[in-house]
Amino acid sequence: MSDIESDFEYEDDFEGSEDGLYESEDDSQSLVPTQEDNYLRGEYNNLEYYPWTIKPFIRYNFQDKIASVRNHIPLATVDEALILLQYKKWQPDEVINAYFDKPQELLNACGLPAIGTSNNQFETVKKFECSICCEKFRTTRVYSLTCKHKYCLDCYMRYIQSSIQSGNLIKCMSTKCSYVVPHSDIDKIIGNKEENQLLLAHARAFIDASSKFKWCPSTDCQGFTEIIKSNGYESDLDSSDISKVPIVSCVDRHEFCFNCNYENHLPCPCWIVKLWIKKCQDDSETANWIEANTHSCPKCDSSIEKNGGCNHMTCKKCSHQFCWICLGSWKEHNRDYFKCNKFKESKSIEERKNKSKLSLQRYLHFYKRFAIHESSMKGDLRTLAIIHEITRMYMEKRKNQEQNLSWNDIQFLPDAIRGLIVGRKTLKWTYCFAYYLSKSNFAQIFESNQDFLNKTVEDLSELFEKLISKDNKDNVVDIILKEKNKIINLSELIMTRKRTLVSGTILNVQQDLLRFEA
Amino acid sequence: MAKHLFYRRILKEYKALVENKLPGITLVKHTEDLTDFVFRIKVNHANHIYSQSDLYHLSIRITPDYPVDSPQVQFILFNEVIDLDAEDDEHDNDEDEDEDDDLIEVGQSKIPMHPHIYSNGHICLNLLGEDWSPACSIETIVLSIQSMLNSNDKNERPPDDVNYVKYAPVNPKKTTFVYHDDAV
Repeated sequence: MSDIESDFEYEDDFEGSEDGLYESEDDSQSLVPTQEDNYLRGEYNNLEYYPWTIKPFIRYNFQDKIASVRNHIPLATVDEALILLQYKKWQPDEVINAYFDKPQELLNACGLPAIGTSNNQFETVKKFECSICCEKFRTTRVYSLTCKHKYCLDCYMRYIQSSIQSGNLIKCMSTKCSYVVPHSDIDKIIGNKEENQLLLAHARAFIDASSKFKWCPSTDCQGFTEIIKSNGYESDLDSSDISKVPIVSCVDRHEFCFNCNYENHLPCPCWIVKLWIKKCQDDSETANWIEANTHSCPKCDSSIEKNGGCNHMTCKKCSHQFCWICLGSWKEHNRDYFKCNKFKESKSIEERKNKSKLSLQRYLHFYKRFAIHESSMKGDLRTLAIIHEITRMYMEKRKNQEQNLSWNDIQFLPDAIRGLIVGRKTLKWTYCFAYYLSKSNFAQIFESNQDFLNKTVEDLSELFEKLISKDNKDNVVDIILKEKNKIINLSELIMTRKRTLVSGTILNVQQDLLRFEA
Repeated sequence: MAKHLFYRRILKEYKALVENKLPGITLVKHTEDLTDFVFRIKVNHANHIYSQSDLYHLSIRITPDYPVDSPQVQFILFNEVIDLDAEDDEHDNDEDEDEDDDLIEVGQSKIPMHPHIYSNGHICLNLLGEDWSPACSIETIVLSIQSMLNSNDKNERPPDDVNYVKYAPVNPKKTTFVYHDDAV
C-alpha cells in the first residue's frame, strides 16, 4: 500500500473536519497495490507524476486553502472563503492582497455582500408566485440570497443543475443581480448525497483545461495523473527514442501514455502508435485490396473483380471488351490469346499489384495478431474477474473464521493477474512495432523475445482458464493454492521477459540497431 | 403533445405580449403549444441602413429546458413563416390582425444587416448565451434585438460571415460565440 499513498502528505495532515467539508478518504482500490514495478512515479523515464483521485485533489488544491484565507479575514465563512478563492483561481495570497487593497471591488466582483453580512435564506412562504415558473403556491419553500430575490426551490434546482457543469460560480437568477450562491447551499438545493458538487464540477473543468493533467483512459476509471516534472518528451513528439515515452500510472495502477492518452503502448514510440491506429481505422487497406484484386475497366474505370476463369472480359457498365491480362482491347489482340504480346508493357502494373498484395498480406499478418491479443485481453479480464471473486469469497471466509486461512496464502494472485494483463498488453503492441520494423539481425532478436513473451503469456492464461473450469468448481481455492508456485513463476517470468524486451528494444533503437520503416 | 413543463410561465409571457403591444413588434405566428414564435420587427427610425418598409422576421423556439435554458433565436425569411403555417393549418390565429399586410409584403422579408447578425440569420448576442438568466423572457429578447438594430450604424455583416455560414450548425445554439465586441 505504501508506495502510492505515503507520498501524499495530505493523507495524514488534513484529517480535521470543518463544517463537514473534509471527509476521510476511502477510495479503496479493487486490486491491492503490490510491489513497485519499474514505472511507478519518479522511477520511469525521468518523469515525475502524481496519480490523483478527485476528492483528495479538491481537498489539497481547493479546500486546504480556506484556512489561510480565514486566518487573515477571520469573519469570512467557509463558503465566502471558497467563493473568494474560486474567483481568484485558488491563490490565497491574491485573495488577501485584493481584500486589503480594495475590499469593495473584490466583493462586488465575487458577488458577495460585506463579509459577515450575507443573508441567504431558505424559507417556507405562503401565497407565493414564483416569477420563473409562474406557478402560484399556497405554501412553498423558497431560497433567496442577500438581494432578497426569492424563487421556488424547484426552479433553483433546475437552474443549478443546468449551470453546474461549467464549474463556474452560480449567480442569482434575477437579471443583472450578481450575488453568488454559496457552495454549501448548492448542495442543499440540489439535494445530492455527495458533497461539494460545484467544487467537483469545477475541478473537472480545471483538469480538462490543464495540460498538466490527463484522465486515465481505462474504462470506468476515475483516476487522473498530474505531471510534476516532464522528461522533455513534448519537444519532439515524432522521436523514436522510446526511453522518453511518457508512461504514467493512475491510482488504480492502469498504465497509460500521457502524450497519446492511450494505454501503455511500449515498445512502440508515440508516432508509430498514431500511424498504426490511423491505418487500422481508415480504409487504406481496403483500397490496397481493391488495387491487388481488381482491375478497373480501361474504358470507364469502374472496378471489376474477376470471379470466373476466362480472361475475355466484358465490362457490365460500358460493355467494353478487354483482356484481363494486359487490359488491352479484346478486338486488337484476340489472335494472340495466351501469348498476350502486350505483357511486357504492362509489367509495371503487375509489379505494383504484387507489391500491394504483399503489403496487404504483411499488414494482415500483424494486424491479426494485434487484434487477437486485444480480444484475448478481454477474455483474460473475464477469467480474472472470476478469480477476483473467488479471492473475495476466500477473504470473507477468513473473516468469519470458518477456516484457518491466511491473507499471505492468496496475496500472490493480484500480482499474477496484473502480470498477465501487463504482459498481454505489451505483447499486443509488439505486433504494431514489428509491422513498422525494418529487417535486420536485431529485428530477429526482437522477434525471438516476442516469441518468448508470447509463450509465457499464453501459458499463464491457459493455466488460469484451466483452474476455473467447471470440473474444479467446488475446490477452486485449493487447486489455485496447489498451483501457487507455478503461477508465481509464470507471472514473474512474464514480467522479466517483458522488461527484457522493452529495455532491449529501447537500447537497440537508441543505438540505431533497430530502425523503422513507415 | 405533452405541455411544456413551464407552460404556465410561457402562457403568462404570451398573454403579456398580446396585451401590451410593443412599438414596432408584432407577433405574427405561434404554435398552439406556445413553443414556437415568429415576430415581425420594425426599426423605430429609418436610417441609411434600414428602411421603414423593411420587414425582419425573428423566430423564437422555446427549448424543453426553458427558462433555465435560453430559447433558440434567429432571423428567418418570410417564406419560412408560410411553411410554419402549413404545418399547423388547423390552428387559426385570430390575434394575427396584420395577415393581409403580410401577404402584400412577402417580397420584403430580409435578414437585417448588422455586424453581429450572420447572413443565415444567426445572431451573436450574449443575452442568448452566457448572459441568459431564467428571469429573462421572450419580451427581453425581442426588445434587446430591436434595440440592437435601432442603435446600429454599420451596414455590414460579421467579419467571418462567409466562413461561418458555410459551416454553421442548423441550430445557432450549437455555436459557441465569442462575444468580442460589446460596443455595437
